[in-house]
Amino acid sequence: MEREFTELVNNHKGIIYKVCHLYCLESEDRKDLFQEIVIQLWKAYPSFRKEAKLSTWIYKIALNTALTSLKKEGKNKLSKSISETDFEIPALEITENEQVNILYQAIQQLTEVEKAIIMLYLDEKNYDEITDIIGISKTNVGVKLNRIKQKLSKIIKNN
Amino acid sequence: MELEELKTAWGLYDKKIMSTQTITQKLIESMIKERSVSRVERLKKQYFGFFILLIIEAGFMLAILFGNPFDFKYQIQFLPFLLLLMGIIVAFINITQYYEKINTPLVDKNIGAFLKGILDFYEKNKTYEKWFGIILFSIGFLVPLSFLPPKLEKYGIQKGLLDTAIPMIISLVLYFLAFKMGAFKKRHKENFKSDLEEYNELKSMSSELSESVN
Repeated sequence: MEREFTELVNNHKGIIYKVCHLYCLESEDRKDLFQEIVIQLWKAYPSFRKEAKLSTWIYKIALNTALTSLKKEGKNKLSKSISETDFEIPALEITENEQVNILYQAIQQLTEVEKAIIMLYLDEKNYDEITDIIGISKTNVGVKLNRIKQKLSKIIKNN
Repeated sequence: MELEELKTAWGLYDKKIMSTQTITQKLIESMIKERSVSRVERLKKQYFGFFILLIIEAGFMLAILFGNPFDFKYQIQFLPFLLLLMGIIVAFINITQYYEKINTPLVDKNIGAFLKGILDFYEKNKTYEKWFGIILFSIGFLVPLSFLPPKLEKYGIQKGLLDTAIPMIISLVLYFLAFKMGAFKKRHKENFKSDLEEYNELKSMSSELSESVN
């Protein structure tokens, strides 16, 4: 089961990394959040129903964990075994793409829920999936997304 | 810059991070071996602590009711202990039912349901903390009443009543002083502040989602 789970984390590490980036500014906080998401995924894994879409399930757990994240729990929670390894969450700059950085800076100015919705939109999730993950109706996903897009455009223009 | 352009850039970032180092099984194992420190886990532990304390208290009450270690002569003397036992049982049933409910994983629910569940969790926790405080206070306050009959027999009405009232008043004063000096707050002072901040944050997130629904 451990091997299967490791494969699952590796196949979907992009989702976890992006959530960590969106919800934590500091590198150490990102690592902590990554660890907490992995723990929560591991705990929920036995009850995962195969008929559900794996990525949707991971988004739910990663976002819910991030929303009640550890940033308020104080520093230095990361276990030595993990901090001593060369584990690093890749920085956004790896794209060497200024556009991503502009977008990232703009997203940081959104609310926590808005961050989740825009991330799903940018990850090409359809309205059904966003509805399933966020828990609001399809119509409201559309309304909310339009508002967020307008807000983002305004932020980007102002910058 | 159009959002569609940014979407393409985001996709590029996605591809890049997927091509980064593979997370080893060893690292995953070391992560999951670590105990979770999330807020929810902490609250669950707190509930578990309540269970244990309630069981211990119930044990004491039962020992008093059935073992009569204070040599009570009248059944009425058992009344404060009986009332406390009933209070403990009611609190125990409530906490058990709620603990079962919260022990089902919340984390894989949609964000709306998750936030609602967590808020519910915080609200209930506040209620049970109060319950527990009331039970402890009642023990200090009501128990001296059980010793009133032998005191009346031994010292007469005036001295007997006075001798019973004194520990009750002391108990009241001690509770009042402890409350005023922040003893109950102090125990959780740091956590309480961040709990409250987090609670308010979650509440605003939850209402943000509710606004979208309406």
